[in-house]
Amino acid sequence: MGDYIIRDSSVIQNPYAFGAHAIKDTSVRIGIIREVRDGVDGPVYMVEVLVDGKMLIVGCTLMTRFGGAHNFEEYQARPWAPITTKIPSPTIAAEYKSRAGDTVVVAYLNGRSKEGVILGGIRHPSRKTKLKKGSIGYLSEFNGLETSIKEDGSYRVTFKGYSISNKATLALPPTGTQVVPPVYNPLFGGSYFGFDSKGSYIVSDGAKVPGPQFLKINKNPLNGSIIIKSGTAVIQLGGSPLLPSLGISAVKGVMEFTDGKAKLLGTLSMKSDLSMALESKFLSVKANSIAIGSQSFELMQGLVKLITALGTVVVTSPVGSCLPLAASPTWAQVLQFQAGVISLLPSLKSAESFALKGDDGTTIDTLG
Amino acid sequence: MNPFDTTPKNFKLVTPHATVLIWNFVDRINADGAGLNSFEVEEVMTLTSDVISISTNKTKSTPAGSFEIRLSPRLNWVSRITPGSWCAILMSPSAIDSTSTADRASFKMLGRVESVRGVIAIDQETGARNSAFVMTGVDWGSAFDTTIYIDQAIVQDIEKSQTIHQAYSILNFDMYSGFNEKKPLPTPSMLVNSVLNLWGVGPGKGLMNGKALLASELKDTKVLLATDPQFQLPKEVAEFMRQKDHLFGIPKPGSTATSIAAILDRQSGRLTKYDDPDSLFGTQYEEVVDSFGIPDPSYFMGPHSVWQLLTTLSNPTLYEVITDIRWSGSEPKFALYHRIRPFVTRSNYTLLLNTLPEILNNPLRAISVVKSLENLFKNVRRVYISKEDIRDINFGTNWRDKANFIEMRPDPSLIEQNSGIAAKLAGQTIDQKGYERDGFKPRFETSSFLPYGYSVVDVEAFGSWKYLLREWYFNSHLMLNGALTIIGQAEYIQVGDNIQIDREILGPGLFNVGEVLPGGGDTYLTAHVESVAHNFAVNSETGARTFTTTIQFVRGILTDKAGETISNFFETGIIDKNSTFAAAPAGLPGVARMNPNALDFTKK
Repeated sequence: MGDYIIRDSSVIQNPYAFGAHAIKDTSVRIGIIREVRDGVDGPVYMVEVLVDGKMLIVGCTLMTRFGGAHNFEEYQARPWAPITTKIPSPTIAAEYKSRAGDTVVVAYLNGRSKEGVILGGIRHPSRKTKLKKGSIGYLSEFNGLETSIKEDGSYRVTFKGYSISNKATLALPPTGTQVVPPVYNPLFGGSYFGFDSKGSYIVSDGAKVPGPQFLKINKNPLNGSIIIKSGTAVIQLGGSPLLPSLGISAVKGVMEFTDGKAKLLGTLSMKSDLSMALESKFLSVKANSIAIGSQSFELMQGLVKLITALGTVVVTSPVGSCLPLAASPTWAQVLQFQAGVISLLPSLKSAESFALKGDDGTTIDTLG
Repeated sequence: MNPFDTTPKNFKLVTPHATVLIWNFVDRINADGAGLNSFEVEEVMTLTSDVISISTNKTKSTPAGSFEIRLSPRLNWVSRITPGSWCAILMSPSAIDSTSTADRASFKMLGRVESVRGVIAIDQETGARNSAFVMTGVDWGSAFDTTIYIDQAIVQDIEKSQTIHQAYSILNFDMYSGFNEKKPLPTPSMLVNSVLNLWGVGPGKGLMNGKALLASELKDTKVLLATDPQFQLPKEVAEFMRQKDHLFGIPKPGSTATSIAAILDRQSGRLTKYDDPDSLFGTQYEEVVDSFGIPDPSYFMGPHSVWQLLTTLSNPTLYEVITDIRWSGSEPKFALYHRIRPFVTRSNYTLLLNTLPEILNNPLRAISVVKSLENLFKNVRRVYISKEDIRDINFGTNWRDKANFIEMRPDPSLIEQNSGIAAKLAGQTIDQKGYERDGFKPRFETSSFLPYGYSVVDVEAFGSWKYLLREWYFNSHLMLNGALTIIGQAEYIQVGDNIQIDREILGPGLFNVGEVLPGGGDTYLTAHVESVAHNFAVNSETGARTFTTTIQFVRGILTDKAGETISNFFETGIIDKNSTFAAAPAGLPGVARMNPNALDFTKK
């Protein structure tokens, strides 16, 4: 008698009527980004996906890194130029043009195409590859910032700047031919930093005229050095672990150690173990007080003592001994000079020893 | 009263009549096109004496009914009738007076001929040659089985670039537009309307390299889409069905065919009073803003049947979609019901919310939500069938299909994942005793449509829907389902309507303590129509004509004439929860027939 039970259609659903409702698409699909919109919760990439010959426009977000309030990643990319002119229907196979838009790989959350996630991208056929065939490398560019890692492991981040001169050309949709790369302003672009294949590090403005300014940490166990170069001015530090050197070469040099207007605290100490040489066509030393000498003799004090000693000198003449020179009425003029020398008298100081400090105040040597 | 009493009052003399009207298409059309106006029909064929038998069937769960007509071999009907032609089937227990326009007293089905088949058999004993023709087809609801094909790949690239014509735009909203541009997120009713609007667009007008055949531009969205041919009625059929312009009273469609999409009578929402077919202006369903949803493009991009789209976008958790001819007085309407399931049989169920085992944070809110959504069983149209017309009936309970656990599952894309557990718990309800005795009989309802409040998904309101579903699905085992065969009725009976028959037909013995008089009096079985099948036949030997109707029903309960439940307070079906009540002698002391509303505190 169970067959007599009338099936209540509100309880037992007609599967035909709910056929569309049951559709889920768990495949990973290829799509083309057509547009980027400002969604309520961030950018939404409108991705055109062909599924079994029919087209869906799927609003997608990007996969990002995550990790709490402090660790996150935001990413918003620029879409390709939209097609703005009517494309005539193809008449031959070759006229099936490449379409505008980044080619991406899309998956649907819960199998529902109203929520897509862009898992990654695939090179658009209209953009010519830059890496050489067969080479193993990495090359990316975002808003004119190029990151490259070559097969030899060298790494470089190059600033090209987004001051590009062929924006109008770039705004044209791809037509099946290769997309013209952006042309950057050389006045701004070209700066880079990175490691070369031997581990040396360089930061450079990449200028070709009049030549690059750079800082290079030249990694070499025998003669590693740091070179800072700007035009013809060069500072080179290091060069040999046994006899490290500091070389400065420039047309004009100025050294000033001062605390600013007060001019009270600036100090300079120079010391060399063996010798120090100053050579110039003109040498001028100016100070409120000057001390020149060794641990046993200071030249200025010696001059004062010399004058005092001269004043005690008694000259013996044929008529007998004279009064000491200091008794001369004109000795006062000598004393004036002596007073001048006395005013220069400082206490003789030794040069300070050099101790390199780290950021936290500890010496480099103790950093271990 | 003894239902098998053979006193003359149980007999009724009828003279059944049946007529088939066929508007035969003149041009059968082939792949080269039509030589004439493809909607041109011959003068209507009125088949009466050629009819050997007619059977029709229509169920609530599918849009298309079906028919089978056996015709005498007076003509070669295979060549005479053009497949695809429209036809009307009229049956009546009395003479059919009018065939010029559809008459509520005789109209039974408007259909299309799918096949005409000659059936010739030689009797192996007598050598007699028996010939007949069988004409089969579907009713007008098959229009909803046509395919609608939406594909923006058809759009030229230039047009795509103007705006992203994604599926949402096609349905007149855009979830990804800027906030200021954003059209309101759609309600189920809006989406159903949008689909119907698309359906009416039809194919392109011209043929240019095959493209315009499939493409037609929508004015507002500039979305190109393709539809299967829209169903159209030849003007003669439209006139027969009394389709008039309601504003000016000018008959439609004039000189052209009429799209069914254009003349559909949308009945959406719920009833707040009895849906009286004879009221002057007709009772209308009232739209309810119950929820909003963002349907999945996969649902409707590409080819789908219109019915699947309508069902999917209708919020099927709460709504049912039904199509049938709906009479408003003497006017037949091509009705599409999109209504909240009308299965609340008692109005006092909300008084019990506080006694349920689940946590209810805000019972007043829950009551407010369900009261705004409930569609009462008593308000659904009823067709009274007199006991003299009933030829046989079977009725019984159905414990098998009851549920005892409901979990409302919001579409994960519409709700924050971190509120998932709270939403899950808020959406669960259980018939604890049923679970303990019968095991786990769960019903999971995943909804892509959710209520919104204060710009966020209103999980609380969504969870409250479960109290409606409790009423619909937990107590169906206390109601009656079965089949009823009656002498063919003049009155049109829709699927999804209710029928009402005299209680006494069910025989003696109490069903519940609410019955004042056991087995008699003015109590009725009111039940929901799941399917309607008409049979008309002419006896080949006697020439006697019979016309019977078989109605399959579910959710039968005892009511008074007005459809009010007759049962003890808080009872939910026809049979009392306590089985000893039904076994008790009549007239239990202190038990009286009650109007449940009298104790419904929410109405005071």
